[in-house]
Amino acid sequence: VKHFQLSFLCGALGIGAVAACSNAPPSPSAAERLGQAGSALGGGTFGNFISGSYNLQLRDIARFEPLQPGSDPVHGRQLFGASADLQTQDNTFALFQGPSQAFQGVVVSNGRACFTCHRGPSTGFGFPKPPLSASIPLTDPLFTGIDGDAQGDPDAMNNLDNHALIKHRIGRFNEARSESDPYRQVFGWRKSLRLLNVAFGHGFLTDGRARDLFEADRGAVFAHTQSSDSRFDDLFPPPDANDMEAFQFSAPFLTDPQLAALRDPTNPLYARLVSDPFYTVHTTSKAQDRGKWVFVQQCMVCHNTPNVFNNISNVQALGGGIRPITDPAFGPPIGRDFNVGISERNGNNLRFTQNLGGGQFAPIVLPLANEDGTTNNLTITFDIGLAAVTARSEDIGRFKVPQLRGVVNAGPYFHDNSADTLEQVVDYFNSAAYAASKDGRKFPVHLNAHERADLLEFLKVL
Amino acid sequence: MGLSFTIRPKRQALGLATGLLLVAVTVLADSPRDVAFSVGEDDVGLLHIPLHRGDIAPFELTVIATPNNCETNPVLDLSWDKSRNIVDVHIRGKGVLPRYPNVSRTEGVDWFPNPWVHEPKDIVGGRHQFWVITPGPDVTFYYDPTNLNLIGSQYDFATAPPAIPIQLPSLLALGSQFYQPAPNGDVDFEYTIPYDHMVRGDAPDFSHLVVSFPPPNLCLVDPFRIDLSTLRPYVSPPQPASAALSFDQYLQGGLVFDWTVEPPEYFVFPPSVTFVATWSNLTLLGGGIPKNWAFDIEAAFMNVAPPIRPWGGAGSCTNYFQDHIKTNNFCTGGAP
Repeated sequence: VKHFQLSFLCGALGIGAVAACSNAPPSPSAAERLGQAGSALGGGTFGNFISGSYNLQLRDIARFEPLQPGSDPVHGRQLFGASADLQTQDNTFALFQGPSQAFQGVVVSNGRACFTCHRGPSTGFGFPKPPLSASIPLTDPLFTGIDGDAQGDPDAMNNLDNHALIKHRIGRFNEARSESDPYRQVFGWRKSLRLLNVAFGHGFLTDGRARDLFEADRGAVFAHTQSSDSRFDDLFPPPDANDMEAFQFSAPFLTDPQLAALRDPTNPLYARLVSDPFYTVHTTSKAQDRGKWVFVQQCMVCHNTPNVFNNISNVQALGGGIRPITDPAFGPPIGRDFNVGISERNGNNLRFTQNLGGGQFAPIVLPLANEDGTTNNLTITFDIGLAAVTARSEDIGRFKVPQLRGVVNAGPYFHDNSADTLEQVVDYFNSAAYAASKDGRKFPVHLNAHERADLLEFLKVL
Repeated sequence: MGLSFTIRPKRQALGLATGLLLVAVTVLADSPRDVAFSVGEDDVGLLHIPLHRGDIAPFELTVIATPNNCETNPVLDLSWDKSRNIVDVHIRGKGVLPRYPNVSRTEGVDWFPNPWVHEPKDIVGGRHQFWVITPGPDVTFYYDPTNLNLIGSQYDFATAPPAIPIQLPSLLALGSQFYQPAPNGDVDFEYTIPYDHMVRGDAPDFSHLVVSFPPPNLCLVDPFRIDLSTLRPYVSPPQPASAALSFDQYLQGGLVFDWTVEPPEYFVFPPSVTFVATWSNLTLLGGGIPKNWAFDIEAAFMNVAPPIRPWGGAGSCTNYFQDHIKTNNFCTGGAP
């Protein structure tokens, strides 16, 4: 009876759902079966089992963080540190420094602005390809201000220059915990995300831990522009954050101007963009057309936001007068992250022990909650992703599903920049390593040589 | 060649949601009972979630011991159907609640007089009340400009007094009718609420209470260090039935569930709520709260991670008090 009902449900759901159902593992648990059915249903309906921090009210519906009324993208650009032509860094209004009550002192900037790591349209508002020193002088605040992130970590300069990775100590500014608390010490080496189509995020940063762009921007300002572990919230007031958000959600950050309609259900184009996920994708060859079908069958279970191709599951976003940004609810995350095994692979052989100085390192042991309430004291040997934020074992290795527009120019790939080419990315998802990963077991990918070639052709025009 | 995807009509979506409910009911037959799941949409759906001791332990809450050495817990099935204008709340558990509970607290130890929470110190022969809670709008609290003491909120004054206004987040709490378990502590408690008009089960002339945690004096709070500050509970008078929300407003805000112990007769009227509780959980936070862990309210207020901590009362079956009286005075540089 159960199999009949699930089959009936899958058969009723249409093309996207068929992909999900045909990819169902041979013997998933009841929870996984229901979760897949719920995900496949779409149309705004949710169906979720507790799995780590997955929210019980995730819905598959095209709704995105609203802009705050009255926000000013021009002022936001100035705060971002971008010149009017977006080509160079302009720090005139972009340095967050000065007396701060929260900081209990004077914050001194290291000269970095948002533009330092999100370097204009030519890089998709991210980093250029590594080595970074090939295109960025070593006198740039990116390098001279490295202790803002790294605080003396001896691996930091190599990881930044050669892998374009920044040290992120996730709980660094949680002053409610002692400095020695493992949640303040745990860290990951992560890329500077390209900001193209950031307006369609459900959660921000690589792990989606920021519920809105305000939280993401504030954390970046705290973490990258000075070296202490003290917050200075009063130097980053919400109106400034709203303006920066308006800038980052504006036209220069969209891969296609038509995508702006996806943020506005009253726009006549909204329904078309939702109903035709490839409305703004233009193929020009039979191989690309075949590749699109491969993409539908193999990739869209997760990359399912129409015309953007990140993951669409979300809870009601903060902001816009709907939910105040001070609302503690739903956090974090507000979207659905996945573990595809990249963290465990640790392809760049990165170190995850605590730097004690003087060449001494110590393991970080993190107490995580298992779903049965027991505690998993995990010794950190790779980037545990969302679990560093949620304290849930089920969230180990989970990261956000990236948007895929312009993906051909987005390399190196994955949160740790561990794949240089699209071919390497596709081959990873077609590998035993992916199939053995936590979400690879749920959403397996099988490509023969023809499908692989067609998919790559399609990805090049996505 | 473009692919064409069609938006499904609402009627069909509802039909599919109903189908999912069938799948849910069926697959749950071979699932652990202590697993949460949800399915549906704002108009029709269901939520199944286990309740645990201490999952939600706000400041100055006492979580009392429960029968069977606190080892068995209840589960909540919440379902809703807008077309039938019904929200159904159903809690079941074997030996999970004390019948006619007694609670004895000690002033200065696990009970602190609070002019903004109208509850008795002790409860003899009490009764249980279940609460469905959701985040509310920011509330304006007023502080005396001379001594910086809290003098009330927007719910206590018809017009704003000459005072320092401070806006703080709130929760809206809706109580059930009262309940007694079976003599062996078994619970099978089901009640309904109108979907479009969420009013109290025990007093349908009223809707939600507004709950918040303001500092009793502005010298006792550092807005950037809630962990070092004194925040204390505040409960508004119950709002009139005319202020009742619809269930989708609860659902969209995220849900919190809590089961309190109330005195055998109303301590005040219009009725309020005590800070004595048994079982709780939430959907407000991704994934709810695992057993033996607790929502870290300080972390939530400070917007830092992680949002859960091991619960201090885990591993023992005694009354547990969540203290939050601090000695820091920030007007004197943080000294007591």
